Amino acid sequence: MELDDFKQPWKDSTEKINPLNINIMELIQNKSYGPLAVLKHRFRKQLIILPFVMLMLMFTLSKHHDIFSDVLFWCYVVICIMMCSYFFFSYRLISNMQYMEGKIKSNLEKQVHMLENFSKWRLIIVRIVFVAFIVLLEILMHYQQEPSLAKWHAQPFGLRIVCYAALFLVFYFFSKAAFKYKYGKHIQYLKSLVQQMQ
Amino acid sequence: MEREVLKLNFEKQVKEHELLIYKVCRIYGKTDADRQDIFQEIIIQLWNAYPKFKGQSKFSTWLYRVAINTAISGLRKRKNFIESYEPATLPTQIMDSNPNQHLEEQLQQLYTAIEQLNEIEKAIVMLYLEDKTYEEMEDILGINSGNLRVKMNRIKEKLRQLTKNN
Repeated sequence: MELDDFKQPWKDSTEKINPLNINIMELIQNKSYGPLAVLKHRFRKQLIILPFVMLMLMFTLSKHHDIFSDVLFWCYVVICIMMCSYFFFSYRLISNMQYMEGKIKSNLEKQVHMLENFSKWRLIIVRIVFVAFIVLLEILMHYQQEPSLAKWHAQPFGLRIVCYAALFLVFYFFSKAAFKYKYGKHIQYLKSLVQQMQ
Repeated sequence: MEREVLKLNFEKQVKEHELLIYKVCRIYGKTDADRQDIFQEIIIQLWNAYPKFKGQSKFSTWLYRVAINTAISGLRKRKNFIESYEPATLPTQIMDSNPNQHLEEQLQQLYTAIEQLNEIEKAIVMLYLEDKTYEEMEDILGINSGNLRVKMNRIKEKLRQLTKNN
């Protein structure tokens, strides 16, 4: 049977549907449970919780010692700010991805481009933070004697370097695999849709 | 007040085009639960996008874009994301209320064949069955009309083979 022969049955079948009493107003009150909505909700939650935890910790620590001259504390603040920025940009990205009234093809291409850019920058930033953390550990021993790090700093420099390199390698592949696990499949799926439209 | 007016306009326009949403659900949903899931997600996405709809395109064109985007791009709930909602508020028998046995069989044959197409081909077939012109299809899908014609011929051939095999 030819597809054109189905035009009339298709039309008839939809015309004969009885009007269904769906309360549109009720439906729009529901939350979206799509993967993007879930991700957006998660980023928003983290964006709210993180500064709150930071302030709480600041308050608690300030009671016991002078936190403002503590290098580790300031590192913690910088990391928190960076994490907040990350969650903020992620949240914005997801919001932009949800805005999809454009043509299907351009929308899919936009989503692929956004996710790939996000992936690239996320991996770069995460690795920079990791290297900065290693550098900080090394610099710290010259400025501030941390009892908790004394044992580590007592190890030979060569051994420390080998450990850092090994850790970096593990982290490098882990961060890549983690991102691929989280977004890789979705990017591949979107790319296959774009491919189908060529 | 303004939001209430917006809500009322939205409800009115969606009600007028309700059938279009059912068709998208029917094409992309394999089970009733799946169709309910798509239906709900489409309505939510439509509502989210509605304040930005400035009428630059026809409402039906805009609706098709949002609905197909929602159905294909993973914006709707996946199986591992499923959470409970009110099933009573959603249509369960979308396009299955046809009393004509022969017509029913024909349509079933068509749906079975369409199910085996890829996501984009499904969208093209649906718009074709809706009697959309290639220019309108281009406006919704973003594939140029020349390419659409070629794709349509291939899809027709594919469906011919599929219905023959079924």
